[in-house]
Amino acid sequence: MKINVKKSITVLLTGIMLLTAAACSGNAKNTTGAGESTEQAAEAGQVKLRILWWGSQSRHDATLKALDLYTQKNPNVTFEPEFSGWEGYWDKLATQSAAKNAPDIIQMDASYLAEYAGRNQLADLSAGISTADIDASLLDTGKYQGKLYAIPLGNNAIGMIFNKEAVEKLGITKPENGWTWDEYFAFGKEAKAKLGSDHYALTDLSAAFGQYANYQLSKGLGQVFTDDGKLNLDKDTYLEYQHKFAELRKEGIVPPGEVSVTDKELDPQLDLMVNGTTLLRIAHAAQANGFDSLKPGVFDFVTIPKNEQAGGWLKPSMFWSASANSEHVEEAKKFIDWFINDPEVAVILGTSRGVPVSNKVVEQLTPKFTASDKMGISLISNTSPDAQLYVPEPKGWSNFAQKDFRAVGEKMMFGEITPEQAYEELMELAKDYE
Amino acid sequence: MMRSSKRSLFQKNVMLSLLSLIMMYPVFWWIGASLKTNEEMSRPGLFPEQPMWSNFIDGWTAIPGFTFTHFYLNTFQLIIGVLLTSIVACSLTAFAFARLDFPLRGLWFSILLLTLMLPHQVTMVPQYVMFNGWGWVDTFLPFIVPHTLAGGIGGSFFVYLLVQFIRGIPKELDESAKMDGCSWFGIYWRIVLPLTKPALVTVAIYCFLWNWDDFLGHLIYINSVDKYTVGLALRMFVDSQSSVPWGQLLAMSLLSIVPSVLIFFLAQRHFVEGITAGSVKG
Amino acid sequence: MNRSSSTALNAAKAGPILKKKSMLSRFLSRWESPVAGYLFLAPWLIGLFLLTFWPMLQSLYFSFTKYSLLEQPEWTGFGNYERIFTSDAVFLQSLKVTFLFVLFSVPLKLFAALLIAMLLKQNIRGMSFYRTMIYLPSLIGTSIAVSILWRNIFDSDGLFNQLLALFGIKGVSWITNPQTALGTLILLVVWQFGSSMVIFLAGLKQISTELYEASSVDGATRIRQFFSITLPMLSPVILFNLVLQTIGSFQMFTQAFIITEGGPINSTYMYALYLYDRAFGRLQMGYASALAWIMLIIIAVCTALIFMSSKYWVFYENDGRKKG
Repeated sequence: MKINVKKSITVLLTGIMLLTAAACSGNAKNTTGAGESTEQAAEAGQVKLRILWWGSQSRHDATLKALDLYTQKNPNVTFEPEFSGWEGYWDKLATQSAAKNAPDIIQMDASYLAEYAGRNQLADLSAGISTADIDASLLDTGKYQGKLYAIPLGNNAIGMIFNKEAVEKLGITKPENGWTWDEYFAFGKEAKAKLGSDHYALTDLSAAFGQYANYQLSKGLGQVFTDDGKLNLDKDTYLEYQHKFAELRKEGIVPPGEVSVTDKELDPQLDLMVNGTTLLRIAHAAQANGFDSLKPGVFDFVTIPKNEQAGGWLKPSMFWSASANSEHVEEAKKFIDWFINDPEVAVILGTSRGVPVSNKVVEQLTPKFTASDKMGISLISNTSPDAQLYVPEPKGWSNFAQKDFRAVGEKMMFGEITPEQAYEELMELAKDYE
Repeated sequence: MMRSSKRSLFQKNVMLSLLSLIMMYPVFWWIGASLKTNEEMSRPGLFPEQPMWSNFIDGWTAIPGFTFTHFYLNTFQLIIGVLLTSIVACSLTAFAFARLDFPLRGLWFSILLLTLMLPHQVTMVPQYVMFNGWGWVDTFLPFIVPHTLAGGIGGSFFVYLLVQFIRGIPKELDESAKMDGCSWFGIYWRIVLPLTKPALVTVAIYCFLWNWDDFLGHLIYINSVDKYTVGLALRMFVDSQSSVPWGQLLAMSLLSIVPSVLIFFLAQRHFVEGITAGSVKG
Repeated sequence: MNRSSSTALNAAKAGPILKKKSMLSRFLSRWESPVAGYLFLAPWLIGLFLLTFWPMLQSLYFSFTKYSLLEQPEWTGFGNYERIFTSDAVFLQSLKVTFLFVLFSVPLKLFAALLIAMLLKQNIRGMSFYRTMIYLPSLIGTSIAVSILWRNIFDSDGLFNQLLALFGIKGVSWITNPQTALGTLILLVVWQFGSSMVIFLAGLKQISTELYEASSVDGATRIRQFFSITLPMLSPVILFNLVLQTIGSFQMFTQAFIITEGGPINSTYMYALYLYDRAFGRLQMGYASALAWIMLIIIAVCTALIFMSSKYWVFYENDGRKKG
């Protein structure tokens, strides 16, 4: 027994030494690699770009192919791709940025744009990238205080998705594009009358910041955040909105609180619309493929309801940004320009980041779109004529919209507080952000 | 006498089977779900009518450019590194705390416990800045070096565990070894270490499990997909904006716990073998 | 001290044996225990100063600053602490949730672990199989599948409610009901009692069978044996598990993060989750660091209380023997 332990520890120690040796030599290789590349860089302008994105399998596949193609065409540029899922992506980027080690090219999300651009982490992309074929309103979403820090990669629109099949079966009025909030509530009432007690028509939007913003916009009362980053929550509109949903809850048109919070978007079992608990939910055009894969052919999109004005907006699915600390900003710009405009790479990328932003590319790709692609595109084209401007949360406020607004909304859903109390509580919480 | 012990054996078996069943039920659901299509997920029933074995095959090759074989090899390399270094470093430290008398021992021991108490979310950033400065990002060094110095994930825990365990070994054994002229290192090497085997196995298992599970750590320090671990590869399935291939995700995450289960199965007898067998008599 | 000088004496007497030993052990044997102590401790100490103290000190410094991670920290003195204690309702909520979680999950988990360790102690045929089955949930750990599993079990038409329906009870949607959500998380960590159980198993096996045999001869019942032998002999292990589970539960993060994300209505908003949101969600690393140091002090006080109480209920075999 003793010998055994001794022997195994000797093995252990040798193992450690081997491993550390391996680790060190691995490291050494890296440094020599870096040395070579700088040497070559001096000779032939060799550039290695670090590029970071989140996504799932199809996006990873398409993007890697695109990078290969770019290297083929520009042999002096190679890539170090770093890709992952959504979880942990922002923790990693924040940590890398704290160490001044952020990648050259970064996939950016609208709700983080202000945080990074406002803290001088992103390079100005105003010049050097051809954006002529992008809708101006879409391109503007990549701006922060007048400068372009992010190039949109996919077009996206907010809308509602509903169970077409179930609505037809119930024989009720189908939601129509361009409908009003009143028609939306009426649809809920009509559907509930036929649905029975355990099923509901609409989803409870009391805790959804984005949809409250849609509502306030549709009333013509402006954005929830002002241009200089202040909260502009219209008290009367907020109370009206919340009282309306409290009423819907009472009538069973939206599910009770404990059912509503089980909702997990696109989860095959927990998505309330997918699992049949409700008929209709909020969704984005870019999610068309996701919903369709869960129940093919069953769903359809409809625009966000309007009042005096439209409520919906176009919102880029994601952006490319370049790090302000990058040594290769010019190369990064060249790559981004190619990525959004080149017809050849457009075929490879398809709709892996939503509907392409370049109108030319969309024209070129149209014959290849699948039925669900087309469903998403039609939501975009139905929204775009009178689309509101999408304004991401200002620097520091994203947590207010994503967490605080939700938590207070949930309190109402569970009947713990009245809309009036909710308003007071939100104002109290907002103080912490100003 | 015979009959009653047989009956009690039967009772025990029934009880244990029942307990196992309760504990395992969610796992059965998991196995069933890993064979379903996305459409079938929302239907009741533990197992699908038509098992989708392709979830396993497609999942294995889902990450472009690499198969899971590659990620498993990476993970094993990482884990073996931290496992071996942890065992040696932690047992040395624990021996000092449990057996040796030195000034400030109490202070150091409370510091050991204190290091367990700080949420690591806040030390993560300074540590990253430090390791990044040393050029360790995108290598396994940020994991292996701390473990070599009795730190890293669970390091303090392992030391504490081993201290408790070594304290339970009768000191008479040391005394007699000293009589034979054994040095402290000799006592550690020949007496304490062999008797600590059950605890070392425990340390090894936790070290394995926790490093296998350390998603955020791996995510932050490992950049190139070439060096990705299984945990990182699994998270690549999930993206809020697109449909997730749930079946593949569940299939691959199911496979990812197989090594842990195997290791536990092989090692579990050591927990109970214990040191009662021969040593305590001394 | 006495002991070590006698070692040196013994070593000197035992000259011939020493010659066979390696240079290293001869070198070590000459030193007194304090030096040996620090030699053994050296790797850990290096790690402590280099890899642990520095980040800890930095986080202490950050706690007195406004630090967004993306810009340089900006000194604000006690500003963060003041805000936490005077105007942060979420801090109080998360503290409350965390204390509730610790108070329920730790005793329940230890109780389950001890009970099942007793059951798994024996060596009957197929025991390794049972042990693996019962340990398996703990191996799943924080795998991404756990969140899917747990939601499926405690959903309104999940497995748990199907079971209740057999008894004619109509259950609620456990995970999303603010009254029961924390309970399901407690249940999850209790279900994964394996780590404590394994340590109990090792501890149980350290108890000499002679003790049981002797008390059996004296006619003690199983239950008496449990209270008069098992519990006292196991008390150091119970202390160990208690301390570690307490520390671990205060820092509980991943399960809440992947299953409930703190909701509904912040009813599962664990302290560590709140800290994480401040640090990475709102990029307020300074504020989060202050939260972390408050947490450290809370845990340290609780741990100290446990250690202080241990004088009254923990029994060390070695000490006992020496005194006897």
